[in-house]
Amino acid sequence: MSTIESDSYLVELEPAAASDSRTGESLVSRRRAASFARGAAKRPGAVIAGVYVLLILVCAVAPSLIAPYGGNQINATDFLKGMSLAHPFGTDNLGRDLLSRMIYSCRPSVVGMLVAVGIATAGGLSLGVVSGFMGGRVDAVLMRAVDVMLAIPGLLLALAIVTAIGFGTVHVSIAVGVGIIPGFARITRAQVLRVRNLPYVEAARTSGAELSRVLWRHVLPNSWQPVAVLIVLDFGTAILSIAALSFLGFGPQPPSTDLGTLVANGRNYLETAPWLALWPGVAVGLLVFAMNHLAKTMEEVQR
Amino acid sequence: MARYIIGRVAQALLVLWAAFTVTWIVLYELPGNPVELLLGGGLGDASAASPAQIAAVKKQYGLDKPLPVQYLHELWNVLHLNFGTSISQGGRPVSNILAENLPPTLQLAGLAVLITIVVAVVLAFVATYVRAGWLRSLLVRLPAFGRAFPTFWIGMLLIQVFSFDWHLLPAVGDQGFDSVILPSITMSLPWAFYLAQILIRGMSDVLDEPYIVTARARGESRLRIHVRHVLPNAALPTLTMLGLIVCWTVTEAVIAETVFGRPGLGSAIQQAVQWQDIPTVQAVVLLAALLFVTVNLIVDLLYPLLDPRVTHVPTTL
Repeated sequence: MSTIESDSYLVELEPAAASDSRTGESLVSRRRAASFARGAAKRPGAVIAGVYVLLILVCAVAPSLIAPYGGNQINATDFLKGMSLAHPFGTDNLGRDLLSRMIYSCRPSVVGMLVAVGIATAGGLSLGVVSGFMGGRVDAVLMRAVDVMLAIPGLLLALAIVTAIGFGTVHVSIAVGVGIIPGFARITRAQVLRVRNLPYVEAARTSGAELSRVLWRHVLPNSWQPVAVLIVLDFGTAILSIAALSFLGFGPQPPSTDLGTLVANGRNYLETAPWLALWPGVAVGLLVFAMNHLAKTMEEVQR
Repeated sequence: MARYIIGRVAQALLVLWAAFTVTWIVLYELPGNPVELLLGGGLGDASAASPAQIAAVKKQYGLDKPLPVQYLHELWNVLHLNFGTSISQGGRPVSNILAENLPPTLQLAGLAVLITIVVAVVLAFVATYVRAGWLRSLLVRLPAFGRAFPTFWIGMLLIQVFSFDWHLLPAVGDQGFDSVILPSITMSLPWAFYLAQILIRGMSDVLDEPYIVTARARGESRLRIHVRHVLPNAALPTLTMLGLIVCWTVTEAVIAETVFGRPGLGSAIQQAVQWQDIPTVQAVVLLAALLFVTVNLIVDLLYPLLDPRVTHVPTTL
């Protein structure tokens, strides 16, 4: 990544040289691609994690392309069958292919994850930036509020919110997202505080730049990197929390399923068909692990 | 010192009051029509209720009055441990449900906290003590891997192995000590891994300290250094996490009690949410906040005895 950064410096320092001809631009982008490839070769774990996350995203966007059977396709003769060539992950009590059901369950899981992290980011970022940048009383009040939110365990707050607004993927994700906001706000605030007192921000403020301009042009660009790591980490947290709420029965209502509900359904067949709960859980665990690994890699690269 | 104690207690009370306010806003103000939920939960048909019934519910919860009055009414009730009547359990007082479900959960949570600490300390100790490179990197990475898997899934895996394959422990229910073991292990593993991660980081840092080199130069054995210097110095800061861990056990109890079909606060709130039973949900959430605040307060008050430096530097929450 350090090479990428030095490349971008090069573009800024010599704008004429880089943009006077098309070959110059493609040279830069080719060099970037090459340095990215070098970085990737050094981190095979991150590449595997990235490929797995991409695979889940593809499953979410176009399940019918990948799934060997329909998500709800019932096969009356092959129920509760173990692993076989025709059904790699076995079949459930209605003879539905588990692998296909898992692939079709990716969409609600991914949508939930995006909604939750979207809410956490929007809420946490604005709270953290305002709190860190305003300082003084605003900061004190907002951070006290955050402290209180942290005193209520995230899952319980989510349960309370779900009680109030109802069940389903989107409602559960909203509840989970709200639960993540306080932690997000704290870390954003710490980043803003770090940047706020740097000389160039002070210079911008004393030279009369508007508050919003200072925020957009100077504070945010210089504090987004750790926040980006946090967002990727929170994807993992959100997946686990949403899966937990789905397992408790508040997620997508039948016949629609997400990965958490699949594990919950498998609970009734633990003794006769343990694979029904096993594989969806493995898929969730690997997704969370992949997200955490990507976040860790981003952190290392930034350093 | 007196100022420190008074400050901490005041802060704890402030957090509790604010926690009540948050649950009140979420549960009584967020739903479009709380009366409908209070009349029969999510499954009830409020349109069948007579105006007299609606008026009665409104009167009982003070919902016929202006907002500030409603708020104070609820606060007054909660301060008198009057949480209203449960919808999911046939109109019984919520405080009875709490009293009945608290003991099994406390039993579970107590054992879980113990297991969390033991597993985390042993894992961190071995991971930083072993010399074999491969074993070390395996153990250092294990917590991150283990934490990625859902608690309920780990619980089902344990049932599968220990109950169905090996017939060692009961899979479900509440019959004596045997039935507490698997659920408490299930609850404790995620946070044991989390605590282990922090301990491993702390212990690796301590190993780089000059006083470790001094101890080694004096000829102390590696084991002795690890037990006498590394572990205590790395463990002290994690004490502040105890409140968080106790708090998490309440959360995990919701999952574990559902997986293992045990009675307790966790399964009570699971049922209550299913029925959209506002009074019970609020009571359980407030109880969890009370637990968190109390444990944190105790840790805060004990901490100066263990590390006198803190009374001079006020810490945040």
